[in-house]
Amino acid sequence: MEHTLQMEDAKHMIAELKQEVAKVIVGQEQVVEQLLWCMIAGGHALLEGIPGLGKTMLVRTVSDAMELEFSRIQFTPDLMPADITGTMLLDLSSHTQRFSKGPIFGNIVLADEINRATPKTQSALLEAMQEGTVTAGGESYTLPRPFFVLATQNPIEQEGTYPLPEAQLDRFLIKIGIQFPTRDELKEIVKRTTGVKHESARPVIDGKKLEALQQLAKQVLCSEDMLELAVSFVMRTHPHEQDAPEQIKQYVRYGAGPRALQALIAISRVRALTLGRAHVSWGDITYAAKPVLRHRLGLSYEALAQGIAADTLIEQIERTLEQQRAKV
Amino acid sequence: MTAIYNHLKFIARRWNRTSLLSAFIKGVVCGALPAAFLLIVARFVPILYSKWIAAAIWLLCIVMFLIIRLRNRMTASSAAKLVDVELGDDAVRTALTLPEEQQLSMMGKHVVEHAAIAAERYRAELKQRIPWQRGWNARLWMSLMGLTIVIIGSLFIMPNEKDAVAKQMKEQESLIAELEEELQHTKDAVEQAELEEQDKEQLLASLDELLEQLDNKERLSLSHAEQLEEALKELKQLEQEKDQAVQRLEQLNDAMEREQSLQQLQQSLEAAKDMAKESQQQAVREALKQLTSEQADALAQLARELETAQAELANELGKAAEQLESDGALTDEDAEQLARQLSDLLSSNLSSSELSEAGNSLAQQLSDLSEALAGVDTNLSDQLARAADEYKANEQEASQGSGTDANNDTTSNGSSDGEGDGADQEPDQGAGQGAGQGAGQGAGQGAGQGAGQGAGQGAGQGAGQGAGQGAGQGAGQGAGQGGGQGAGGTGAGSTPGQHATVTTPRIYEGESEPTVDGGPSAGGQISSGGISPTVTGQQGNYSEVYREYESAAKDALQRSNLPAHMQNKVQQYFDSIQPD
Repeated sequence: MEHTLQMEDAKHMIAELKQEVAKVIVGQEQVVEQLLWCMIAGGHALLEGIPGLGKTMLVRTVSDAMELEFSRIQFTPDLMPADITGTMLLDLSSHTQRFSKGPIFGNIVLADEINRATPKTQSALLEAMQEGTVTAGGESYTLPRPFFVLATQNPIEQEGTYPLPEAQLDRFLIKIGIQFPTRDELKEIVKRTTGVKHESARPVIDGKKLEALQQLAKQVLCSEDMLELAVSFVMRTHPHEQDAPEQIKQYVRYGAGPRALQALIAISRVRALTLGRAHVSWGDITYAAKPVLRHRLGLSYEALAQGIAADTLIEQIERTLEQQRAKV
Repeated sequence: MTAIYNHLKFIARRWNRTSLLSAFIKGVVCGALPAAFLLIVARFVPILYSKWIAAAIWLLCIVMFLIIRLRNRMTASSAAKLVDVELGDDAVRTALTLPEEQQLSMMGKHVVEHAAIAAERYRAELKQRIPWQRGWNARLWMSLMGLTIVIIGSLFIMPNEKDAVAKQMKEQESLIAELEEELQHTKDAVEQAELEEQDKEQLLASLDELLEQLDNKERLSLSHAEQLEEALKELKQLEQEKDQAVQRLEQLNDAMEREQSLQQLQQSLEAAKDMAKESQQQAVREALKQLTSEQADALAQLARELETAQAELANELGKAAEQLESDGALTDEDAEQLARQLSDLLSSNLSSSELSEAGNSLAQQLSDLSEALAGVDTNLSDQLARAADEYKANEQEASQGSGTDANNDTTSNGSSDGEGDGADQEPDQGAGQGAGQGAGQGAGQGAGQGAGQGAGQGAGQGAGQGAGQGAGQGAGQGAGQGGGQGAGGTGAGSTPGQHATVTTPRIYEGESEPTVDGGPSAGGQISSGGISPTVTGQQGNYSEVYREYESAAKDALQRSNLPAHMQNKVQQYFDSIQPD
């Protein structure tokens, strides 16, 4: 019953984490939930929302609750890759070169307004995000574990920005859309932030516990049926796929890649674990589909012109698969 | 895992039972459609064993639906899917597909536990989750089933006349087949027999001819099935009418027996009838005294002919009945009834008018029957038709001969709706004397047998409407003003006449228009009846009428594109009737 207990512990820990974050962040339960799942799944997240919605605060609060090292990089057009990864410095005392670690060397790296940096600088993150290493002066440096890049971007202010290339986007496990708070949430935000007393998150878990959670999540069982459904989900994002819905064929230029499928299963497993289950269900897959797939669909100009959102297309795929699944 | 499988099997059983029920009901409804269609069609077209076929179709549909459902019956695996889909956590399928090594892992055990709980929960809620009407609109289908059962039941129960027709057709076919077989055997026997070559060839030829005729009959019997059915229907109707008449007579008889006063009345009536008979006979005797010797001879001749005709009729009808019986077109019962009816008719002491009426009716029925059976047996048909025609002819002669009716009406009220092909017979308008009291009332129907009614008598104004025979014996004098309405007849008046004046129609009505005469006619039917559009016109001189007639014909010829040889014929006709 060791695993069962661990599962219960995991469930409890995750619930506690959410509770701690909720002390600081008003509302945004879904965003918090998805961010935590992403971190338990060991992936990086891209948070998209207009300025002032508490993206930076959310990341900082999560890092506080996890007792992890937090670093922040404000992306600007003149930011250079070395400013992120670090640079080789000449040590005058010893007349040797030594590597000065950049802000990327942290457990949780907040890449604020990542789309304001040039593609060259954005690319500096690629190796770190994928391999967990940084190469400088012909030498590779391993990033601390666990390592998360939580990037933010503003969807409306596009002037002077460099949209993330597809390869870069694909490195993000999920893309979380941050919604504007409700009236009650706004009131609560004001109450919490304008008073004398400020709540802060206490550490609930540390890096090791988080890694243990990550390992446990990977053990969650996924049946062939569920895997088949997940594959179908990803395949149907491709416009040339025979079973793809008509809207996908019309509005999508290219679909999601294999990383999407990995991400889909990984997030589904974490969700199942969060709910105290040892297996992936269809509900987990459908829940994970939007954050996993929305930044991996290349929409056509027609879709952009008509304001067709990626989420709408994903819902369409979900409906067709639901019908197929319901056939007994 | 065993517990999970047990739950799943239970769930699958429930599902399969429900599905089988729905499949059965759907099969009943869907199978009833073609079955009902067949039974309805069988009421218009004779189909042998239609009820059995309909029942088989119905049953087959039900069985097919059940087989399809059984082939797609739910297994434990699909039951697991059902549970997963409805409960939404996919534990059961995951548990069932786990490899053995994973089943023993902690995660595996957790999944199996979860799956067992889910399956048990589903089983506990089975009646709510799988109600017997799940997946189909039970109310609608049950209503449809009830409706179809009522319809099909009614169609099964209600008697179908076409079944008898179909059965007879089948019997006829089998009879023909048997005959063919026998003929074939005979042919083989003849071929093997030691006969002279010429005789053998003759025999074989006649056998081949018979076989060919049988083959033709087989085809004809199918095409004339409807006619056969019509004939049977008429026979049945006749039987019903006869039954009703007998019933009425019996009722009347009973009533008379019960009522003393009625008995007295009956006796009085009989006495009155005897007196009337005596006075009638007296009148006849007086009339006979007034006859000339030639007229008396003719009357005697007619009486003899009547007797002969009655005998012939009896003979022919007897033959016809035998033929019908032997041909199988009538059942024994029908044949017996028909024979009885005929015998009654012939043996009864009917008056001439009653005999005439009954004979006409019978002749008409026989004629219809013979037409209907024409396709089945030409010989039989001919005999029947001949019998009917002969009877009619005899009856008409009888009508002429019995011109002793006391009725002295000068107006004629008979009608001639036959179609004659003889020349116009109007000589009865000539002068002459005689005891023109002929009052033939026969309603002849045969070709060219227009029934003359009342030739002019005495007063010289004979308004003979009937052309031809009716006036045969009478022939009153008079100026012959009768306008012939009939289209001719075969008998000529016994007194000479002359063309004095003719009546021409004042207007011509009608709707037909001339069309191309494409060649000689080939058969067809003679129709009779209807109302002539001709109304009484004015009288005029024959030559004037002829001129008008000729010019009208010429105009018509110019308008139409009649072939030249036909136009010549018309011209010849006008030449032949040209006034002197």
